[in-house]
Amino acid sequence: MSSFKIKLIKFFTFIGGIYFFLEFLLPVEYLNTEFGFKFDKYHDQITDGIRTIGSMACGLGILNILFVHSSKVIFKKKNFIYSFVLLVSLFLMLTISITDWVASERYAQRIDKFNKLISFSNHIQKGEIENYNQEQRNGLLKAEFLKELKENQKFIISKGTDNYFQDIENKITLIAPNSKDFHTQIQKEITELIPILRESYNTEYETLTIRNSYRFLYEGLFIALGSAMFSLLGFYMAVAAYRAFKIKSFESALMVLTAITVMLGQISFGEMLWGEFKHLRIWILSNPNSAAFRAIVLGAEVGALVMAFRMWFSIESETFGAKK
Amino acid sequence: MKDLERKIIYLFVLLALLVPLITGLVLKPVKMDNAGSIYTQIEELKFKKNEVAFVALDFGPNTKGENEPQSEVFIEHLMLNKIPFVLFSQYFLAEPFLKEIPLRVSKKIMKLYPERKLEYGVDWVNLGYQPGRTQLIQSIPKSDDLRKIFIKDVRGNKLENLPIFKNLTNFSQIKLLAQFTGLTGLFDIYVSFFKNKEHQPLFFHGCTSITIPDAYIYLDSKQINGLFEGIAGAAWYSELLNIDNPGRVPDSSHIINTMLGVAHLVIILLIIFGNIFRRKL
Amino acid sequence: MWDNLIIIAGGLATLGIFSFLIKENFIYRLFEHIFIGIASGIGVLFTIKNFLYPKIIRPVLGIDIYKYPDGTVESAYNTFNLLYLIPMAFGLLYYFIYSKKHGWLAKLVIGFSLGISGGLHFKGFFNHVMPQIFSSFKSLIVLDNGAINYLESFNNTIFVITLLSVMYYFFFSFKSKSKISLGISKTGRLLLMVCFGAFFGSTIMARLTLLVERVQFLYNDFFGLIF
Repeated sequence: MSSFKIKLIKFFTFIGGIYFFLEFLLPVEYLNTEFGFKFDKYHDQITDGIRTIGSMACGLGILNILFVHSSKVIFKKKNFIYSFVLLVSLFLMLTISITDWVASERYAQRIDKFNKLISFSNHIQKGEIENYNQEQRNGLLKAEFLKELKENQKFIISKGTDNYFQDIENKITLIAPNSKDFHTQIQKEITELIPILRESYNTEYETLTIRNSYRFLYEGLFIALGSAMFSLLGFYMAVAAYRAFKIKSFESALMVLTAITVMLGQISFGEMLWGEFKHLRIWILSNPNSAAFRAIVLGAEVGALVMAFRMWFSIESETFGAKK
Repeated sequence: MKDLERKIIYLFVLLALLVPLITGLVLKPVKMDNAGSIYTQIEELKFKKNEVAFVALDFGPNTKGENEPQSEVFIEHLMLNKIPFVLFSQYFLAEPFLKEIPLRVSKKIMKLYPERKLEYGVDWVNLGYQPGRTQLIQSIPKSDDLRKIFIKDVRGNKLENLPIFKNLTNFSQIKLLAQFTGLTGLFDIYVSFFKNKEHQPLFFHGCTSITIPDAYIYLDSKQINGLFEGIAGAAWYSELLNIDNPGRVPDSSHIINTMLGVAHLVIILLIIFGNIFRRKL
Repeated sequence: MWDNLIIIAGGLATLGIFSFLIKENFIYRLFEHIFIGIASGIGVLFTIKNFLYPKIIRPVLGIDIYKYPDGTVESAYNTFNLLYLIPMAFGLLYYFIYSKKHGWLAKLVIGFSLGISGGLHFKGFFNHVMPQIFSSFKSLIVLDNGAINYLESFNNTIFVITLLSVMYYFFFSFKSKSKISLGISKTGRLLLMVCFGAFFGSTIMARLTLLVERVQFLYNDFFGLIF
């Protein structure tokens, strides 16, 4: 790599860390009160920008999988059937997830339309505009509400009375656009309606085939497979306890004794055997264990800080700047 | 021979685990003081209007055995005490738990107390998986308006339209943070960044048993205010909920706790037999 | 119906994975690859769904601006949103990692991300470690209403001895071969064994919980449904 490219990489690495370093180091409140300069004025936007950069890498994993496994399937390499199954699962999950997302977004937008009506109502109350007078705008709001109401009729389930939909429709129809408490009444009706709609949409959403297909793949397969894979470790631990846990010295005996004490202190059988096991367990965890772990953590954290410093100043960047 | 020995041990472990299931044996869990301390603190907490709890479920299928019961009993306690809470996660595999756990718990409570009504948007909000890790967490205490960080909930509803978030703008309104995780690295981010000079929420941590020794150092330095110690902590918390709510349907943590007790005895016996018999070989 | 299907799928998947205990086989590898396929598929979507689309793409494209029935708009388009195109474009440089000629462009954005982690680490270090250091200074003699609290004093003494001896054990920069030095190292080593024993005892519970949860699912839900 040319020296210009190496320098550019080092420059970007340094730029990446400078904002948060200064944000931590500078007395921002002092700068704000003394000089009127708010260093972290755009902190939220900068953070969002940085999160965006990281989020754009989300496709890297999928691309890698596609490259590796597609070539196995296309060229029918050894065990290509597994790669085929992997790719089918991947595309199936992606398709179902996207369709599920679209379905839930559709319901969310339906509710959002009612929230927008409240927003329109507040907007009207703020002031006049050129083309319409207040009464005309109120009329538009009322018409829009009635239109949305009709479109969502089947989701407006009964709330006490059998004709809840009819009740609301009649109430809204009777509200005159020039009445003094027009907006209060409209907003009240919308606010009461939204939770009912939300519950109805959720009930319907949960019955959709796409939703249940997503649940089948995720809860039925993925969660079960993930849990099962990690649960194999329980068996291996049992075998390791029998074969590998040998007491050959005072140190190993001390370790086994502590392990057994801690184990007995956290189970009901231990409490039945001797009531003090749980107190002994807490004592071991709070005193020698905490102290030893703290010593390890302090050492590791200082090492990590030095490493962070070296990364920031590209002292550790031999892989970036490696010359072939 | 080694292969046969291994398979006999597998079978032995499996059969031992089936004993409590078949016999229906359920033992009272061990009293866990740290979980009990969380329970007491929640009981004594007074939430003002517009104050919420933030609950981070940062676990996936690999640690759900311990973290799911912990989060379930904790969320149940929040709902019983009418503490509104906001759910989110830094781990994308936690998405279904964010949705299912509060729904399951709310149905259970409404069955136990028919007069109680628990509603999404009023009692809890699910923000879903939020990418960003350190960048996201460090921006929360500095934000002028929390709704501008998250914008929408997982269902696509704008946050300002949800009752919980109507007046929730400031970090100081987050009275407590509870994080349930088995992953390394995520917990440290909350410890380091989920606070500012003016305000530090109460921090309860639910960890898997592997990270209990690690978590104790934070308990000692008071960087966390309470600790769920694996499934044992969840089982004791569930026991406390049973005491205060007669008629409550017990969750799975009791039976899992009993089965674990048997499994532990098996491991201890294997260590002892391994040292006696394999030494002779 | 779907709930039953989910339980059956979960049970079959669990048994398929458990078949590995007998021997690695076709069924196990099949389920393993299904697992990887599903996991890869969902990660991308959640990032786009929960962050990129609502927070970046919608504001940049102006999709979230609502037009009221009277022709007015909810809010004017904020042109500053266009600035998000810069981090989006910069983030796309990640994909140059697949190019041999232009792979160095990916190193720009990787380096930038590493720089951010480095910069954030300073704040994280002080917030994380300083309380740990402060709470390590424990009083070796604890007084309780004028009288010595022997238990607390003993606990604090053990704590301090353990902390210092373990830190000394790991201090490799210079080492003395004197008896005192070797004694402190040995003490640190022994106390580390106590720590590891506690760690092992806790790990057992974690690993077994996963197994117990799966066995419970198989017995109660899966076999309960079938039989």
